[in-house]
Amino acid sequence: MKRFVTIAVLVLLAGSAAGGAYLWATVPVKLSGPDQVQLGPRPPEARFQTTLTFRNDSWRSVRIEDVYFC
Amino acid sequence: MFSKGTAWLIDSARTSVGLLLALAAVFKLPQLLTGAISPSWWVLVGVELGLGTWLVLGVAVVCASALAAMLFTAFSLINAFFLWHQVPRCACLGLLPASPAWMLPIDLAALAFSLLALAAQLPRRSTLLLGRKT
Repeated sequence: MKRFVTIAVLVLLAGSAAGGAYLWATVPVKLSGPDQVQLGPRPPEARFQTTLTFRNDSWRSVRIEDVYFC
Repeated sequence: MFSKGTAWLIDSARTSVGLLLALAAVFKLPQLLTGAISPSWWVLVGVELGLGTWLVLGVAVVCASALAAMLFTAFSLINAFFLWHQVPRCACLGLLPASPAWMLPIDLAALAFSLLALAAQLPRRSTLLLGRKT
C-alpha cells in the first residue's frame, strides 16, 4: 500500500508538471492597450453586418471588442 | 487484493482506457494529414497510439498504467484550465466534436481507472517476484 501511494503521488506530480508545462508554453500573451489589426479594404456589406473569420490554430479563443472601419 | 470479478472489471477498464487513447489518436490523423492542426501534434498522436495499444495488449501493466495515469493527470489539468477559461471546444478527440466540460470527467475517470489498474497489479507483481505478499 505504501509503495502504491508513493508511486501514485509521483505519477500525479509528473503528470501535473507535464500539463503545467504545456499550458505555460501555449498560454496566450495578454496584449495591453488598443490593438489595431489591418483587415484590408472595407467590404461593401460592412455597413450593417459582416463576418470576420479568424484561423485559430490553437485552443485560444478570440474576443473581438470595438471594431471600427475607417 | 481483489476478487476475480473485480479484477476482471479492472482489466476491462484498463482495456477501455487503452481503446479511448487509440481512438483519440486515430481521429486526429485526418486533421494532421490535411494540416488542420500543427505537426507537433504527431508527438501526442504517437504517445496516444503507442500507450493505447500497450494498455489493450496488457503487457507490463504496471508501467503502462503509471504512464496512463501520468498522461490523464496532464489531460485533466489542461481541460480544467480550458473549462475555467470557458474554452468551448478542444481538439481532444480530433474530428469528433469535444468540449472540455465533457472531456474533464472522462479524463478524471480514466485517471481513476489507471490508478486502480496500477493498485491491482502491484501486489501480484510483488508476490511473483518475492514469493510472498509485501
